[in-house]
Amino acid sequence: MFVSLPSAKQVVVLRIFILALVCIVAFATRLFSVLRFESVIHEFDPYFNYRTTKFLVSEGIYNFHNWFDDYSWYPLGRIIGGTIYPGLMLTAALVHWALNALNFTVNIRNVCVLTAPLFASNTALATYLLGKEVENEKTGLVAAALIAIVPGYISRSVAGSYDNEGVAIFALIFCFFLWVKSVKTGSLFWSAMCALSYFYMVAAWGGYIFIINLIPLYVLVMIFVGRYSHRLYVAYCTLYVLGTLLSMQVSFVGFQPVYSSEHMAALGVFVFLQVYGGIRWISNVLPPDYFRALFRIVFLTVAAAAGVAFVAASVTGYVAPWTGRFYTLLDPTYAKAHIPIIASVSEHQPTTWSSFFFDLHMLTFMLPAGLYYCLKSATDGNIFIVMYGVTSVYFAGVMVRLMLVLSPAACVLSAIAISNALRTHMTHIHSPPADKTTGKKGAADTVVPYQQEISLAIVLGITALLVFYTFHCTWVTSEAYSSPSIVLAARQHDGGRIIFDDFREAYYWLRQNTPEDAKIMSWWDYGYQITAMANRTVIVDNNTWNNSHIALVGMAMASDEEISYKIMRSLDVDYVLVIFGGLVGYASDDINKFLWMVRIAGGEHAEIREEDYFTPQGEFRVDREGSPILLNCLMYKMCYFRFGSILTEHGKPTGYDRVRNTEIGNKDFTLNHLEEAYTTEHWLVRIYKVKSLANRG
Amino acid sequence: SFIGPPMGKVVVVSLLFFSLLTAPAVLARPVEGKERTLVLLDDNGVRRSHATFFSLLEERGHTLTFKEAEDGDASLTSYGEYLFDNLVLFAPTAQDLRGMIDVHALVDFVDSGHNVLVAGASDLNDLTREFGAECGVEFDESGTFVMDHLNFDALDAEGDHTRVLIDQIATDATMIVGTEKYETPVVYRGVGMAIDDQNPLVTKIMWGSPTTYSFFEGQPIRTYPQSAGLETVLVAAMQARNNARVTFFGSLEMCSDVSFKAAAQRVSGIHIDKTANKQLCTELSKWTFHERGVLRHSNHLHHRVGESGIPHFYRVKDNLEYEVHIEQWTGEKWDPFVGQDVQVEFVRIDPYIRRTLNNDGASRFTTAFQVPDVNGVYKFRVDYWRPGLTRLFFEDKVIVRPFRHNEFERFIPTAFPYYAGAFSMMFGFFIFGWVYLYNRSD
Repeated sequence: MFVSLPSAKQVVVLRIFILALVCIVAFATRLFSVLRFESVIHEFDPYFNYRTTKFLVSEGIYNFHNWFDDYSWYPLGRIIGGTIYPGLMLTAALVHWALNALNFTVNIRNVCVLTAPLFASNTALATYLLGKEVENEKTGLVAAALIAIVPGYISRSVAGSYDNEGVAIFALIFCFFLWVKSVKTGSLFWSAMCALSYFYMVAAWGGYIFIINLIPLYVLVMIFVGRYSHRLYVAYCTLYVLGTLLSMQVSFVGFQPVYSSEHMAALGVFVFLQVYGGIRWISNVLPPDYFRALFRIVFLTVAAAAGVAFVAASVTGYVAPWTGRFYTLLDPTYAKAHIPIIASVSEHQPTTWSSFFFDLHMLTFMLPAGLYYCLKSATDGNIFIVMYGVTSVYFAGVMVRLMLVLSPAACVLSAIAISNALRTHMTHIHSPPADKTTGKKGAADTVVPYQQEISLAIVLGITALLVFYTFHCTWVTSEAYSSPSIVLAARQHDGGRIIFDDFREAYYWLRQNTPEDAKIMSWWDYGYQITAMANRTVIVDNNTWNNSHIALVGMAMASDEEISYKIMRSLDVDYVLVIFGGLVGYASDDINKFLWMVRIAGGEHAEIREEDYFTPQGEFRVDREGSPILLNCLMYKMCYFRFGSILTEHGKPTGYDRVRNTEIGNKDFTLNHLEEAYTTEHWLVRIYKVKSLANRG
Repeated sequence: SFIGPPMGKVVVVSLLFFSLLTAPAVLARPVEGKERTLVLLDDNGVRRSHATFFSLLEERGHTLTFKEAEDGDASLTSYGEYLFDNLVLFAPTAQDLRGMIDVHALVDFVDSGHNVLVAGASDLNDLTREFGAECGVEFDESGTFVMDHLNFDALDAEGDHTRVLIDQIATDATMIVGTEKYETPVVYRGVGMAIDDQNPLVTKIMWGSPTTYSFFEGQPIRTYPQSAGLETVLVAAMQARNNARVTFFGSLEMCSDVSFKAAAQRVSGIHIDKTANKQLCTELSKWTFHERGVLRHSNHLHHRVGESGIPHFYRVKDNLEYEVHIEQWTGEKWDPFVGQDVQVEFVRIDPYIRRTLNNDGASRFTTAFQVPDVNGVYKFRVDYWRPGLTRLFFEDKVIVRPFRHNEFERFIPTAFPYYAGAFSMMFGFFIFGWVYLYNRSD
């Protein structure tokens, strides 16, 4: 039946078929974690998103919008409605409601778990559209196939990874597609569509800042390379005006588009575009001499005044100072020097070369080839994708997590390279060598010896690369990115898998055994999980909006028990939770994070000094040589309480820490104001109860 | 004046009561259901030598059960239930305590809200010493005496200056030592104490003069005494956080019949007909056994102005009313508490608002205030902690949330220029569009 169709229709059917396969692959490859573990939400932030989505589904949109959460940041509370990007939750809730309206009663957790894979399929479609708009359909297909399995994107979108990025990447790509489309057509309709998709992006992720800076930059570049057109003017002005008005509807963004520095570039370009358009019109109307004089007087004065005004506004603080994360983007060393709370997050670290290859594989070197093809025959769309690629390469180098933004650019650029190369060389394979000898071709197409063989080799090489790429992506997805990190797995000596489910064990213990209004203190990493899984109030959580509150908790952890007790009393803490990996060798535990607690506490409280926690040689160690302040602080005591009498490895003394690979220095101590309430099976989570004041003293 | 004569009469009558040895006790009783008192004695001789003290207790409604410490059948509990509400521990020297009463039993007794009156002596046993240590009171070494070579009883024939006359009484703690003025000194012969400065619950009630010290009798002083001068504590009172009260005397003799009736003479030759021992012991036992200085609270509640139920949350800038009922035990019944200094705090780590509660004289304490313009989880906290009174401490958690999206003012005058701007722009664009589209001039 298929072969009976005319060839043009065959292509359409084939294209739809390929896209459907791409979507299925994109969805299916992200299910490793569900098959291997269970349908469970992953990591930290997704737990918060999941909790808020449940609230949204049960309480409705208005209550969600006005939600004041008294379970986090006790006793400050958190205005959830005004401090989140609600796009993800609304999307999942809509899917849930739609399915239920159709009598598919899928519970909200499963919707949340599968949101990211679903949107990965959508991203593949959006990438097809972008590729098609930038080059042609074939490029679009290759790009869609590449992005369906690219590890840099999978890392954030496996099933269970219910995070903003999951839907935001789709929004980002779709917005870029509509932008390219509106620049190419100059149509108000497409620009308005672009503004709408920009609005969705704003509602979904803070990364919208990238769009609202990249597009103005693109406009500027277009003007300077002399590609200014009315299409560009219409597209940008529509997007800026509508997009800004729409983005201000998201309450977390609020009035930022008119006063924060991050948005000033867009405003500046908008004004500049009006001025530029105006000048062009005047120069058409006036004689050149008059025009030149007018230009000098008016334009330079206005530009100077605007510059002075911007500087003055920045200095007086009317234009909000640039946030720490933004500085980190421009200067990778900034955070380390100034904001420990940003530097302490592992995903804010600079990217290593190996992780470029790990996350992009062959795209790493196909990307420059794509840039070459784009610049060779520059179009409006090409220039945009080049700029997207170049800026995102820079940002991905600064911060590991921005690899996510680079991945789609790398896919599109690589697709351009691959499809161009294939198109060139496939024709040579098909054309018989006899054609060349006839000399019908023009002088430009000079005969290359062994052209068919070379073409064949190149085609085979690319095919091999694509095959290796597929294997690499599948392997990375399966081994590295499908672990929920709430359940840990390890290999035993005999090769069998051993599962550590201590986190959930501890959280369920809290849920079942503590009073409903108990306040739990832990380092902020675990705040979201405790509120979501244990349903208890926490002092600090992963939304690190209040540095001094976190510093207070850091100080409680880093001080000796008496001082900590006073802090914990003032915060009404009932239980303290620490993560301890010394028994099973889980390296990202609280002792290894401890220096960050000290640094963050030290930033607010002068009595906590980082050097006190090091040996005189400047080492951080928990054995007998360790600093006495470290060996007597609350964190040490809570982690190593009773550990001194435990034999962890054969042939080692008791109290041998398997993460630090050393025998701990202070084994014999008691706790005065805390008592051990619960320790999980593998000692990964230890919970202590804070005693109330002594009755007689 | 109108009120003068009857008031004066009351004062005279009560003075008479205090001054007469055989006068019936004033109408003070322990709080209902707290009359069961165990008296644990060194031996039954103490029962006779301290008969007046015990009869005073019985007159005030205590049902006394006497046990000798060495009997071995004394127990505070039976099948996990406390048999007694109060304990008079007059067994400072008994060495062989075979009974069920050890220091843990005493500590548990206090921690479950019961009161203890403890007397010490020079040759103190471990039970009393350890119990003191648990309550923040440290007795001096066994065998030491409190001595004062300038303030001893000159009538004492022994001449070792261990029978000291004490004038230093915490008379400002009227709840504990009574409102009556102490006209004469207290005669004291026994061990000295030191109290733990870190423990905010212990206060000294009677202490030595600057020349008082505590040391082994008749020995030359080669080391610094455990306590000397004003730091020599003779009577200490502790009110635990659960309002259980424990009072320590260093001298069992202080409340014996002999001391109650004793005359004394100062070094300066001034003769004292009757010491203040009876007055002090009576007042201390009243305080210790919850006959005085007992407050209770009920109905602490809060609501928005004009509403009555306790809301789950307030909105910032809501006006609310807070009220609590506080009553005081007068010795006979619960009467409205008349204190004017009870405060309530609205706390979020720090107090944002602190208000003194208005007392309507009928036990109702109220105030009204506006919730601060800061959202968070707050607590209404009343912490009324005054010397000698039971501590009132209670908190109510409440959530203060920000405005909802539709609770802001919608049309504010400041915004009218912007409305005008928007509408004039729309109108202008309409005119412009119409002119531009339909008035081509070629």
